[in-house]
This record gives sequence, C-alpha cells and structure tokens, in this order.
Amino acid sequence: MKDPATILVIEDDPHARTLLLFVLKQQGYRCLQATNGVGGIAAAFEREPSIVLLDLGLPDLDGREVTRRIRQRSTVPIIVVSARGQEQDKVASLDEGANDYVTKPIATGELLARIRVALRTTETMDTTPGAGAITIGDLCVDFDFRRVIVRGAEVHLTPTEYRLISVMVRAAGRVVSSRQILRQVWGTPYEEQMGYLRIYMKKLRHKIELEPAQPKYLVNEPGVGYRLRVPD
Amino acid sequence: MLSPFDASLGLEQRTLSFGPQTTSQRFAILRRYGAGFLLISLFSLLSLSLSALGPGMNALGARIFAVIFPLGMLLATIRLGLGPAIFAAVTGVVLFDYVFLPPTHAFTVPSARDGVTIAVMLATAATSTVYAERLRRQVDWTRRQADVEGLRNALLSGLSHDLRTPLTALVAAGRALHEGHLDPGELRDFSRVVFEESARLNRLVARLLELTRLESGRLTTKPGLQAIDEAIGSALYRLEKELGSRNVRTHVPEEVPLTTFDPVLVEQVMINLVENVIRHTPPDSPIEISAWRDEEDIVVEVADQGPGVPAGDEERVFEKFYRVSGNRQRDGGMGLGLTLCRAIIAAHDGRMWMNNRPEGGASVRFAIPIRRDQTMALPSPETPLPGSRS
Repeated sequence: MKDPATILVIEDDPHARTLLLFVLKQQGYRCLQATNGVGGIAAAFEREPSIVLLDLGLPDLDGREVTRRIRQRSTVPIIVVSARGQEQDKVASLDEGANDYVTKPIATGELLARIRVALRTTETMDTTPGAGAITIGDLCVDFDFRRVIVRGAEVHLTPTEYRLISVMVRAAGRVVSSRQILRQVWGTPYEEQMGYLRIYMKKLRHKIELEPAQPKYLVNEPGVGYRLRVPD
Repeated sequence: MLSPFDASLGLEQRTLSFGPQTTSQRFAILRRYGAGFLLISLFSLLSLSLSALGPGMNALGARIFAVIFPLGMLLATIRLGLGPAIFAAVTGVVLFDYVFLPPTHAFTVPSARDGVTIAVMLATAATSTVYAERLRRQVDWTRRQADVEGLRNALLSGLSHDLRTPLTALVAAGRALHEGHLDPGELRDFSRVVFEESARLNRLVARLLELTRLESGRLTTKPGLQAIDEAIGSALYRLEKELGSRNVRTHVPEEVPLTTFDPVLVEQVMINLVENVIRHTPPDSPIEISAWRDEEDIVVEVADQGPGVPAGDEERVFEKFYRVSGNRQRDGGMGLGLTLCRAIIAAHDGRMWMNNRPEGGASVRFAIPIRRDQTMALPSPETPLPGSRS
C-alpha cells in the first residue's frame, strides 16, 4: 500500500483546526498545520504536502495572496475553505490557481470527496497530458478522434461545444471558475462574457444531459463557476 | 400588507394585471378595459348634459368634453393601468367625433380645425397618462422598499431570538461534556444535543447571508446574466439527499432567455420552495418544476400533488410567521421561508404568488423581468474567435 497523503491545514481558528485534523487523521491522512498565511506558505514549500486546505479568513494574508504565493513555486493542489457568501474571494482564489473549494460548515463527506478528486488529479496530470480519452460515468470524450459519446451514442458537438466539454472533462470533479472557462474556450479577451458561457452550457446540457434542468454532469456553482460531477 | 393609500390608488388591481394564465385574472383584465370604456362614456354623457344648460349645445359640449378628457385619462391610468387608459383615450376620440363633431351621430373624418382639437386632446391625455404612470410606479417601488425593509427587521429580531435557544443548550451540553463524569447514556444524550442544536444554529445563520444581500430591498451584488435552469439545477443538486427517490420532473425549454438575477439568492428561493414541498407532502409525491417565458417575464412554477393550502390562505402563506395550522416545524424555521422568497423576488422587481391547482396540490409561481442590462452580442456560433484555442 502507498504512503498516506500528507495534508497541510492552514486555519487560524483553533477549534476548526482541531476538528479538521481529527476528521483527516481518522481517514488515515498525515496532517501538518499552520495558523497563519505566512507560516502556511513556508510549510507548503518546506514540508511538501500532497494537498493544502486553506481557510479564506486568515488574520495576516487573504486567501488570494496565499494562493498566489504558493503557486509561484508549487503545483500542490489547494482546496479553499470558505464561508457561504464569499463568492468573490472563492473566485479570486480559483483564478489565482486554487483547485477547488468547500463551503463552511464543512460536510465531512464532501470534503473527503474533494480531497480524493484533488489527489487523483495530481496523479492523472502526470500521465495524460491531454490525449487519449476520458470516461466519466456514461460520458466519454475521445481526444484523439475529437468525439464525444454519451450513453453509447456519439453526439455531434460544434467546435465551441467540444472545447467547452474538453475543458470540463479535464477538470472533472473540480470546480472551474467562469472566467477560467471563458479564457480557455474563447480566449482572454472574452473572459468577462458570462453570457456566452451560459448559452453554450445550456446548449451542451441539452445535448448531453437526460434532463437538462436536473444535470447529472454539468452542475452550476452559483456565483463561482461550473463543476463536472463525477458519479460516486 | 397594502396600506389604504395604496389600495385607493388601485395598486391592488395592478398587481393582478400581471398574473398570467388563470381565468379569473384574465377576467380582471377584461373588467378593467370595460371600466375604461364605461368611464369615457360617462364623461361624454356628463359633457352632453352640462352643455344642455347653455346655448349652442354641441359646441359647448365639445369644449367641456375636451377640457375634462385629460382628467379622465389621468383617472383611468391611475385606477386601471396603462393599457385600459390608452383604450379609453381612443374610445374617447371616436365618441367625441360621433357625439359632438358636426355632422353629429356619424363617424366622419374630422375637418382641419376639429383635427387640431383632437390632436390637442390626445397630447394632453398622453402627457397626463405618462405622468400618472410614473407616479404609480414610484408609489409601487416605495411600497416594495418598505415591505423588504420591514421584513429585514422582522428577520433580524426573529433571528436573534432564535439564535439564543440553541446556544443556551449548546453551552450547557458542552460544559457537561467538558466536565466529564458522565455515564455512557448521558454521554450519548449530550453529544446528540450538541450535534442537533449546532445543526439548527447552522440553518439559522444561513439566513443571515440572505439578509446581508438584501440591503434595504436592493441587491448588493452585481449579478450579471444568468440562466434560470442553472438555478433550478443547482438547487436540486443541493437537495439530492432530502429528495431521495422522489420523482422530480423539470420542464425548461431551451429558448427561455437569460436574464440578470443574483444566482445565490434565486438558488436559495428554489431551495426554499422545494424544501417546502418536501415538508408538506407525502414522501412519494412528485414535484413538477417548470419555467417559461411570458412576454417580458420569466415565470417559474413549483407544483406539487400534496394537500394544498387551506382555501383563502393563498395570500396569507406569504405573511411573516404564517404556518399551516397544526403543522409544527421541526427545523427551527420561523415560518419565514415564503416571506423571504417573496422579498428576494421583489428585490429583483418580480412577483410571487400561490394557487391551489384544480387537479389537486399547490403551485407557487414567481415571475422576474427579462433584463439585458449587460448588452451582449453573441458572435456567430462557429466563427473561431480571436485568441481562441482548441
């Protein structure tokens, strides 16, 4: 069996930290802790954790700054922990390179799922740099032949729709901010055009989902972005 | 909720005029057009009888009518709304032609002089109509502001009271656990208290978010263009556990356009409406969620097949602290769910109402205006955009 992953928890509130560490250790993860942004950044570089859990309300630096500084030297997955209503901060951290977020109060199951996704992402990123095919549930995107197969049948996507599903599939399980999607699909000059994104998401849902208003794959994270759900 | 002042201005009828679909509402619209016709006929009759007092009956009657005509338009706009007022204005001109303009009792193309009179009449009518409409909107807006402000205050006082209850229990249970010397039964009980009360606290605090976003009836965020199906989809996703195996049917045609709304708040409205259905209907009873375009509005409906609301309570369910009698809520709710939903929709310049469905069950609908504040020109679908990558 592999070594358990090491998780760095950056959280200033002692009770929240104690509980997070308790939950993570129960799952067999090794844990490191930091109580402020500066200490967290140092630990991220020196101890090389497999994942960073970053609270957004730190006393010394805001989450966006911590994310930015860690990203300058490290690709470690960062999961932002934030309160509801902090959409702006979440989006800012995601745009700085955070991988995902969970909302306080944390549902343990959800947190563990996000951690598993983040760990899996680091593994697959090393092996598949974009080619081949990715299958999620009954959705398959074949990058070699630029084909998308849903429930066994090929669906015809326009080039834009194909670029959109490719971006989402490569980030499967993680939230991607609207701006990131716009940048990757349409290009930087279009990163404020939320309307494009909504319209193409709608088109794509109508082609891929059985019930477009009850999406199984392309879920909206209000005020933040989109997530391609990975069935458990 | 309506003050006597509002009612006297006919705001009540106006809100009805928006309600789509139902026969009674269609009838109300028809009635208002009828009232417009009646009003203008009354005015011409009045002018006719007044003119009988002096010589040169027709000429005098025409003058009287021309003078009181704008007044009638003003009244029609305020009491009946813009549509019926325009209808009354046109009817008025035709009546004027028929009754007063020589040759009387015949529809004729007016002479140049009479044409000028008619033009002046219409211009004054138009001016007064526009101003009356503006005034009415202002009153309408002020009323909504007051509503939302009042709700905020009620929510705040309700919250601080409701926060204290679980907190007291938490402190007590926490101290007992901390001090120790508990037998296994007590240990289990006290930790359950901690778990349940903190969950309850959590639900209450979630409402604080809604409050901060409803700063004095206006949205504090700049929402941008949103898709209503996404608000529905993410609400259902968040309620997956609560919905269990319940049959949820959704109908949102692809053509329903985008509009601007606060995605977090409208998702919360959807969550509250669906939770309401879960709470008040049997576990296997289906939920139907639809959205469609109705002229310049997007209408969303959450319909169930449960017992419905007691007849006559369709409007009262939106009142603060309303609860279906005999139904004790176990979630620490204050009976503010629907009130809050309506306030959120009102802050979007929308409306929310409830009906019992003829086939059984209740239906809550809300309508928000379609707005394209963010002007958006979509590039033709498949021209590669500059800077795009594949």
